[in-house]
Amino acid sequence: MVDMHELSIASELLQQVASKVEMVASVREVHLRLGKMSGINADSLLFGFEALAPTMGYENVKLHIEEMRSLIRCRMCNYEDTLDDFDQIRMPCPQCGNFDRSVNGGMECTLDHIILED
Amino acid sequence: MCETCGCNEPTVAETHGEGSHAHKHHHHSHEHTVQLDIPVLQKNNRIAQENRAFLAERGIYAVNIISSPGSGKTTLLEALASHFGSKMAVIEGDVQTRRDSERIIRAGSRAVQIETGGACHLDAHSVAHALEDLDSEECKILVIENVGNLVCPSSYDLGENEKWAILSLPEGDDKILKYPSLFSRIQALIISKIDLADRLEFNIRTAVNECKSLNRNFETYSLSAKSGEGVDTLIGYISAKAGI
Repeated sequence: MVDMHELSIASELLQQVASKVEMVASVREVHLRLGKMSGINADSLLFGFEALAPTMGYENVKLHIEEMRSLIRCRMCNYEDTLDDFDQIRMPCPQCGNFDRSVNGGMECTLDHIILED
Repeated sequence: MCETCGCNEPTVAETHGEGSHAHKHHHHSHEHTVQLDIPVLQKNNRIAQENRAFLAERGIYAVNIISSPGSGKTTLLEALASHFGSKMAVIEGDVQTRRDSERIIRAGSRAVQIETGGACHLDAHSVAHALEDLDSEECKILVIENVGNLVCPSSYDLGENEKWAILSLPEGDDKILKYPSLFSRIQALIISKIDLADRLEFNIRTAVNECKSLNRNFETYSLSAKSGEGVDTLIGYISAKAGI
């Protein structure tokens, strides 16, 4: 375990990539899908990744993070919208004015793909 | 797509030569994509499943408690320990010191301390080791008191049956939407320190409604471990879940 959980997540990520390739030095790009509700901060994760990668034999590797959005759905009329920020939850549904809305999705933190140099 | 090697990278191609000698020249090195689609915390999740199986085999119901430092987690656990005694065991996660596990042992339950030495959360691996130390036939309830923190512990499955969040009145009723990754994952919301209700402006309904927007399946318990108010209801809930 390492201080700051993004650092431990970066470490898990780099170890996972290492287990999939013959030479970590051949990995150029790591692509991650990160949900808005994952509890993981993208900037801290990037920082952790860049700090740890060279210590684990990686060279010139870049982390690309695709933020996966959450949806906010009205429980009355089912109107659905992407959630931009959490204060939106306290706003009425733009279609029917109801306040009872729920947030769904955006929990994942998934290693999507890697790009290797031959 | 690159015409020369068939890779998916966009490539800057230049045409060299003239007439039949013309050919496209490749300016990027050869790269290829490996699709993986693996949860980053896969290893933690696998160990968590092993913990879950270990606990299920022994008929132990496990709760992972997450809250801020000073929300009253340990005080509540002391109350539970004096009720359940050896039927309950506690794993205490703290950055430093064994103070909390000593309090639980004095109150009557077994306890193991995990000193994370700086880490802001417990993971399934550290819990797996603590489980070896707690193995007892009498134990029916395991409470894992996570490191005091509303963010990091929410990402890590430890093998528990339920996650509980404790939110104390002094923290304010506006905290739920500030920490959505935790409150969207809990099975019980415990509002603590309600003995301070007349001195603090904490609207329990506001907090519960905000939690409902993130989470459809959680129970709410309002209590004061200090005065004892509401603690019996929580004891009833966990006893029913643990079948004791």
